Amino acid sequence: MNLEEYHSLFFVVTLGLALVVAFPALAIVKPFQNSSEGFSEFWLLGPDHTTDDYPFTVGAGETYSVFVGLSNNIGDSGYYLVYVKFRNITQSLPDINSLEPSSLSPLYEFRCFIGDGEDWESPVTE
Amino acid sequence: MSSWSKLLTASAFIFLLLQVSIPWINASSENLVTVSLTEAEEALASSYGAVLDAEQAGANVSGLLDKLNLGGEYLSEAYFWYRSGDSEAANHFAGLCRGVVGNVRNEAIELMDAAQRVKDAENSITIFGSVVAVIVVVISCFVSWSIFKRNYRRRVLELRPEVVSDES
Repeated sequence: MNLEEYHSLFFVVTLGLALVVAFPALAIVKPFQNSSEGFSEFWLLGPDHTTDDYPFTVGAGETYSVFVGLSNNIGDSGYYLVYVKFRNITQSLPDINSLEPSSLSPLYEFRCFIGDGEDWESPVTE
Repeated sequence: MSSWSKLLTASAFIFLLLQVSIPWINASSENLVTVSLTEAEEALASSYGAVLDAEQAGANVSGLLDKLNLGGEYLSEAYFWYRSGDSEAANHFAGLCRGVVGNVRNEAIELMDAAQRVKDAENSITIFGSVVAVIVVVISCFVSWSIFKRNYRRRVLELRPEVVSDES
């Protein structure tokens, strides 16, 4: 290699090292954008905390145990509102096509604030 | 008719006329409960907004989330009693909700300001350190290049051309 080529090599190495040591400052000016998509989870569990033995046929004066849960993975704390509604087979269901909830009045509502990466669960009792 | 009785009659007539002509607002207990629930809802949402801002600034808001959750439970109870027809209980729980989350917004703003100050100080140190490091790297590489160039030229100048005998 001649002197000119060594000069170019030194220049490139200097530039590379300068970028490496300047990276923390550049990260402040232009923060790295997390492109992963956040999501929330919702579940309903039976009396044994499993997806079995859901009380589908219920009678007046009886006690049944159901658990509702949420998981927050959206990246920030979330404010969640869960309406608990009770219907029989003849009453309105949520409209899946228009994403409209059931028109029934809620029996109860849960208002909870869940931190990012955290879960929340509560028994549904009346 | 004396002037006093005329005045009394006229006053009664005007009063009755006002009752009919001006729509009066009759604040029933149900309206008060609705207002109370709305105020509690707004207090809760507003406090959550402040907590979210503080969290995004880097503050630890776990304690504030616990208070918000307690406020949320009270508000849920308030709505339950409201739908059951018990306005007094609904009003009571709405008041408890407002009491719990009353200071959350101010605490969140304080936490956010403190976290922002720490973040600004850290950023300043990082930027200053990076600038100094870049200057050191550039100067070091320039000095290294100068030394290398001098040594390279010296080595080239020390090379003597060698005469090879012609054996033809």
